[in-house]
Amino acid sequence: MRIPGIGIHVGTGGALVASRLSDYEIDTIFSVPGSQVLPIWDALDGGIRVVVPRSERHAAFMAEGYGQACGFPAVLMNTLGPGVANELVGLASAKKSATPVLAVAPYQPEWKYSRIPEVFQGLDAPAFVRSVCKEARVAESAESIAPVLDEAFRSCLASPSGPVHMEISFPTLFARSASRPGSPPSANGRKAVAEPLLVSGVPDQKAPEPWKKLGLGGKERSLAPGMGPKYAIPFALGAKFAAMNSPVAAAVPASGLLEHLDSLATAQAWNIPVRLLCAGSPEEPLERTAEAFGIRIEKLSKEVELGSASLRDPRALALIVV
Amino acid sequence: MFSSEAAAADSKDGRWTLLHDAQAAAYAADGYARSTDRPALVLAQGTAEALELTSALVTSWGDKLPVVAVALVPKEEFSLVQGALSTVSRSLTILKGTGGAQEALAKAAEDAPREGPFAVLAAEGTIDVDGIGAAWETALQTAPRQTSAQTGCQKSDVAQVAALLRGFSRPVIVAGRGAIRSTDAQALSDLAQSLGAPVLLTSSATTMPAGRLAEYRRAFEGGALLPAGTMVWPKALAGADGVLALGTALSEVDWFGLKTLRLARGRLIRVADKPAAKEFGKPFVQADVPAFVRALVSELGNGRGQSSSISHWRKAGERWQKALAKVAGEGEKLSYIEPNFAAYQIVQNAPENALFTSEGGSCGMWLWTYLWLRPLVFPVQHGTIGVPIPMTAGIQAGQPGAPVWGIVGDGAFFYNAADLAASAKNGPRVYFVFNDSSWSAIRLGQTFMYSGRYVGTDIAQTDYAKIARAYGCETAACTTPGELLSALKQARQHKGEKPFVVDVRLRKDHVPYAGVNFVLAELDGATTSLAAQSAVGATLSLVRGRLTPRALRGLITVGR
Repeated sequence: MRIPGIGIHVGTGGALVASRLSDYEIDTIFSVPGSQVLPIWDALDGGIRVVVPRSERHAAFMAEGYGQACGFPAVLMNTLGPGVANELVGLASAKKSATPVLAVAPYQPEWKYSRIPEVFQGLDAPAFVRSVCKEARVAESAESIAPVLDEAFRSCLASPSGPVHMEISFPTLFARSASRPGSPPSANGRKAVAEPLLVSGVPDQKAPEPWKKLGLGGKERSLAPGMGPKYAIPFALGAKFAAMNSPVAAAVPASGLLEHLDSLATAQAWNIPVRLLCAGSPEEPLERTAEAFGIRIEKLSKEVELGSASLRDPRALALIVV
Repeated sequence: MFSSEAAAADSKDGRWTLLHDAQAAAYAADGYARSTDRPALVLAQGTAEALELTSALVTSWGDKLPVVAVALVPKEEFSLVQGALSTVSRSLTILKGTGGAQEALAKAAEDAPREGPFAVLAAEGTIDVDGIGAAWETALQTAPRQTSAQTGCQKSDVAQVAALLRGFSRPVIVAGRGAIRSTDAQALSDLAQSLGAPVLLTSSATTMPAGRLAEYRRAFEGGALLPAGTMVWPKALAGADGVLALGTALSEVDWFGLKTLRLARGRLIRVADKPAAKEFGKPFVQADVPAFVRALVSELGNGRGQSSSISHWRKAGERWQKALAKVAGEGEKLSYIEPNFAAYQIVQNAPENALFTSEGGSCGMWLWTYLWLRPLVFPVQHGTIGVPIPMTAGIQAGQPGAPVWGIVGDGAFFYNAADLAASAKNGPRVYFVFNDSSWSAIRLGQTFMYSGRYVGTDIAQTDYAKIARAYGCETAACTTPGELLSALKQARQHKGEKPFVVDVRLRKDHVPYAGVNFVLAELDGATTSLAAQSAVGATLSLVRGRLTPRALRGLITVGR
């Protein structure tokens, strides 16, 4: 049923956030729903994709993958309390890999600060995330949304780049505002991703294992999550969102596959073909995963096959199970 | 003792319960502490694990659970972990060298039952996993069992509160988990009789440990013990001219938006062992709650209360249950499954000794609606999602053999689904996935606040039975009431070491009966900014109006 006449989305704090993100030509946000982020979602124009991963933790790793692929702040937007809490390890990963991630989250209004423990989903978020981010900034009014967002953006990109958390008083997101911010400062640096991307769990290596062994790592660009191989799958999927027309391949441990079926579900929801490649006999978790998602396992017998099978398809996310 | 498989890989101690990662291990510890009121230990090794653990500790912190977290982290990365860990623990002990673990754990085991969680941060390599396990066992054996920071009460306080209570014509007692944990059920029942007042359990108290719940149910036979999450609860609170709040700081979860709407206007007298962050009791009495209750019963004497009030609220509760059962029963005639039919049948068909668990989505709201004082393990203060599967490991570690029946939403199914792969010998596990292809609790907000403009809350149709089979589970999928009843029969008989997972296909846009209030509680502070008058109006009519099956039927379909 549609209920006419209720719901406002024009001129609210949420609309200010959406509009400022458009000013920066943000085209993708990674966001798991929460009631308090709805004013922003509702005001987003058609130019911004809302990618909804199946957990905030993996959303944060997807943001890291996206930000590392394009060198521009990836926008992560989860709800307050447990939503922000689940970002923690992904933000720390982005800090370790010096990846620009702008995490925007609703926050409790100032008048609730003194009783946070009795507030529903109450958490002192700035204190909670500060050690895994470059900065944690709070916008308590509609007027401060654009300036704080501008500062956060700048800080994300300032060397060394990294994650910045921005909290916004959630009643402000719902309330009408007369605030009309001017043009944002220019923020250059977004890289168009045209080359194939290789994801492994080893940071700071141009052609890490197993790529060298497989004769790869030349023209392809290597990416890696700061926290190591465990989160390579959501990280690679995030990179894929920055490179929808370039092949993306990731080396993933077979033992970790069952922890990341959500990434496969998210990829399928966005019509991103997932290819499962395996050098030896597929182990049981791999077979069961393939069956659950209707994916055929491709067996690798020669190095050359790897190049042809996984890296030729520009639409695909290839997971090479090692 | 809970840990990830990786962190305890070298352990020779079989007492560790192992989960797929440190976040899941922390939720398991939470489930243990929540369902037993006993302290639980959770261990993380390495920075990533420590952060995973910390993200889950938020939920235990919200409900002040006796969870003790030990994080072993490379010393050079303490700074990444320390800020978050200290934010969500009552106390963080940082061990400088190899010693001190025994003392830190002993202190935590002693203090955690009063108000947890506690955390210990130590350098990786300074202590091994089994060393921590041994230190924890010793700590548990030597820690004194004290659950209150206070040891008695002042006679003058008792007299003052008794005098105030005598002046109320429609008093209610609100009992929090802080009161339920240590107060004799019969003493609270006697107090209710003396005052002629119904006892309203807070959300935390409603999810008290199963054994305690059984005692309270027995003590209140013939009385009025009203669980949170039902519409009778806010109606009783809204109608009261005086509220005696025992052992609770009455969080937003308990008020359910009633404060914002100025529906709860009774004078609030609060008794607890310490003041709230921003005290609001008028008066507030700092005392040991059990001692205060006993003294108050004695001061008030017997038979003063208006037993008709107790009878009124007991009958109101019974009417509500009958109305809910009637509406749910109608679902059997339909060609599709209504969520109220599913929740009702799940509760009705579960074994008598089953423990229920769920999460803060619409599936959890449906379960609350139909449980009516059956044992529930639920993350109350944060309404965290993605927790039932790992929490089960903790619940069954504390109550071996008890079947656990969980309801999980499709949105959060994947958060910790990897633990479906674990074999367990502590009792049967059954999960029902409420599969409506949407983030329905959030979609509810879009229905009420944004004219049904749905952005991002659709989920692609997913076959959860098939996915659960990838984890090695036995499964069933149902799209009709008959198929659900058949799956329930299988669920009752399930004895396997792997979980039984039932994919329950539902239509989109159902509105849990408590859903409107849930949205209002969540948005407390923003409601005056909303043009969601329909939401406010629906709450008013529910709280003030007459509860009828027809009204419920209208409500469940409002989103369609």
